Amino acid sequence: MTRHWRMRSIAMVAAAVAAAGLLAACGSSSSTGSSSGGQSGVLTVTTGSAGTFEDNFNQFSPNAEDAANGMIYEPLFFFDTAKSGVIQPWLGNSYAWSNGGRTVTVQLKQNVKWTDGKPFTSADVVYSFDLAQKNTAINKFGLPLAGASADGTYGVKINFTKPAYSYAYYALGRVEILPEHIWQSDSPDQITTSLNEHPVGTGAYELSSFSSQAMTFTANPHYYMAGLPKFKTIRFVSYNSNTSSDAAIENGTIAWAGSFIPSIQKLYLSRNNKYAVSDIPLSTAFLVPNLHSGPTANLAVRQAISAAIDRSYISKTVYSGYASPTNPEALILPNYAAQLAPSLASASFGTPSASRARSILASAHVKTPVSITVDMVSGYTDYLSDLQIIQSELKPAGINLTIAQPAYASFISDQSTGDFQMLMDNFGYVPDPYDYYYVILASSIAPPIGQADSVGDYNRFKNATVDSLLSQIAATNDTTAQNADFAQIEQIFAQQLPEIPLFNQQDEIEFDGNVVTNYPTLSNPYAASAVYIQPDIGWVAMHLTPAK
Amino acid sequence: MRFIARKLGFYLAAAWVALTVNFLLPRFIPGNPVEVLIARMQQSGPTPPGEAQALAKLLGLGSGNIFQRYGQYVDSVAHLRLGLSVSDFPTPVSSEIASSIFWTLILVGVATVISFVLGVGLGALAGWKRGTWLDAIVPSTTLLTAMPYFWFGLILVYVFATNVFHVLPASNGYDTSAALTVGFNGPFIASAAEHAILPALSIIVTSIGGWLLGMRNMMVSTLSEDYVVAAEAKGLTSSRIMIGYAARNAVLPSISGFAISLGFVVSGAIAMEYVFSYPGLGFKLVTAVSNDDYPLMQGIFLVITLAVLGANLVVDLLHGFIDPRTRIAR
Repeated sequence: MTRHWRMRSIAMVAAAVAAAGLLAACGSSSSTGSSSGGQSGVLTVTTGSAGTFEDNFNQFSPNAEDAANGMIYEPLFFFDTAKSGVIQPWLGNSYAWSNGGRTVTVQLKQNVKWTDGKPFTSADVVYSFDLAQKNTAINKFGLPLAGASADGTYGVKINFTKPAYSYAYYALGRVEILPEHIWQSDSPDQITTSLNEHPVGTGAYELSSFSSQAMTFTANPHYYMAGLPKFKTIRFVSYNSNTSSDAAIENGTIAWAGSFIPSIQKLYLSRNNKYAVSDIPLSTAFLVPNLHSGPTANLAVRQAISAAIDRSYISKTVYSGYASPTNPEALILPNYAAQLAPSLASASFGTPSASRARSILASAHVKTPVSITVDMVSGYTDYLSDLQIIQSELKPAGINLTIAQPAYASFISDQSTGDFQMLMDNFGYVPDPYDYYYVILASSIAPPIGQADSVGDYNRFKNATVDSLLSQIAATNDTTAQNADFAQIEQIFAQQLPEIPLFNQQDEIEFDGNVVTNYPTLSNPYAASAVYIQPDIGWVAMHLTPAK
Repeated sequence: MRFIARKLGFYLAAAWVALTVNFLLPRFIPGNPVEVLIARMQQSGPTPPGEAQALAKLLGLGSGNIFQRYGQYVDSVAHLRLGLSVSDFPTPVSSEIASSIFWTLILVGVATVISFVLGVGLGALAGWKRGTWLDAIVPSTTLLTAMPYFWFGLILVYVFATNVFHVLPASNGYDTSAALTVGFNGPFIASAAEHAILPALSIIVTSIGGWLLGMRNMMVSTLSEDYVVAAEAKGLTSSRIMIGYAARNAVLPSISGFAISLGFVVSGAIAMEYVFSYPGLGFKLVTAVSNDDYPLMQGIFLVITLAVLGANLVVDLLHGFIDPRTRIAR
């Protein structure tokens, strides 16, 4: 089984120039009313996560089925996870900041109906934000809310306790709107523990049947975006292991999948000329070193490790050429291209070389051999292959790597308490580079080593300059000023190597071109194509088109 | 009556020990469920401070020191309150178990019974006709038993489902690509039966050798007993001697083995569920363990414990019925 075990969810919008045409329909929102049917076809999907489904469509549950977020419940705007800065109208038409970033005013679409026929209005939006403000368990993104109020039937003002530009993605792009008329009588405890088996949303799809092995969604016949969705039926199928899901993907049973297929060229792509893989870099795989004790507290050791690793070789041998090497500043490209520091535009790791690593260690007077234990989650087979390659590359450089494979739960425990020498993990899946660097670098979110850290900066990196740059970025929505700050953060990252960047985390998503077209690609990244990324899953699902 | 009461007392004590171990074991696994849940929530956004305490309360993981928690645990087990699963929060453990136990019970149960009946029947025959061609097939079945199950399952999938003949489905409990309603209706049952063939076959083929060999050897030694010779001397028909005299006595050890395997039917066949993506309880248990899902683990262990003890109790009582010697207290 791979790392998509019950994977992450994060997501946003997109729309490259090429996608603009096909998205035009949703831009002209206020017009057409319900779409005129015209859907056809069945799309069969697997998420790549192992195990059966649970009848859980409660968006406040960390284990809600992926489809709940995006296909059934929708946020106000779509922030493209695959293309930073691209924001599309969803339930909202437009938004504007005021009051120094403490207030955002949203104009809503006027032709939206809940799937039970009731109209969607500003009261639903106010209810959803009020719920989050009053209950920390429901405020799942930790928004600094100060209250929301209706501004007419189709306008909403959302107030924050502090400038909230950096929360735009979560407030506008992740908070999904609930129907007030259905939830208002439930207490917060009832809401968080409800399974919500019969979800009523605004989304393009409705749940039409559920079993632990298959879920069927049917197109919402009254969907408000003209001409969408395109597929009549989307069916999710569960598998217990990659072996069985891969077999189904390879023989064409599954047309949209997020499953890791080894030797994908031979086992999948060569089988049918319409089989395709969409691989858009969305997160970075890192070696996360302990910065406060042990050999990796020494910058020279981190530099030596980075210098000895042949990232292209890992990409070629383990990932069939996908998962390409990242850059020394660990910026996810082309997603965050706008934030790339000009001085780092051509930065690279240099030619991997054990002798260069040895001389780095020697000039810093590090006594070799250095022994380091690296943790990875047991069962992530591709990470094991990666680390075995790294192990053999570090050996001639004078670094002995020991690979430990704790189970997921114990890995998480070590990671959050900072109790590790080094570990391998990935970070990303956010449309905003601020959120990305914040989770990796912000010292304010990490308690001392030994205390559980539930946010990020697991190796307790602490740099006052980086902290103040991050707060400057959060306090403004002037992109020129922000980009200058990002450039400084990137330079500090490349110099100090708080984490050792490896490669763009593989997110190979398989599409069967005989069944489906118009999926996101690197040249048309209108959304993250992964089935497990929310709410992109909903945005992609409604734009996928049956192949003729 | 005293026999039954003594048995019941023994099984009650055994159940208490099992329940206590069931409480303690999951807590020796490193990590804790709240951290796992928070890690998963973080993947969708930052978690606010205080979330960990709120979750612990919400999950009903108990509070206070380990003895107080044990008290709360015994109390909820006695009332059959199994709590909410952590790895699939907030799904109740009872519905998690309910959604998978029937698949396991029916498939693994039927396969175990078929394997036992076939194995014991063929074993009796092989022992009866020892030295013939029938007896010569015994070693080949032990070869099948020795094969790694995982590998054998994959071979079956390769040959019958994906690569050579495309005659049988490779995965899932029923045809998930058709619009079937799970329940008591013809099309679903037909589909479920078709999907059960390969998994059941794999279980039967890999487990039959054990029954067969055991029965055959017991049969051979029983056949040399005096009462068999006496029966032959009386001129009874050979089928009556084989079934009524030899096999009835030879089967006793196999019955005890059968009881234990019936109990373990509930725990599912983990490797089978993996290979065939069968929605059974075994895979649930693996998921629960790797997520530190105490409530789900405890729920599943509880069901397994009760099933094993229950099956043993039934067979113990049955034994007393088949073989009167076991009833006599010394």
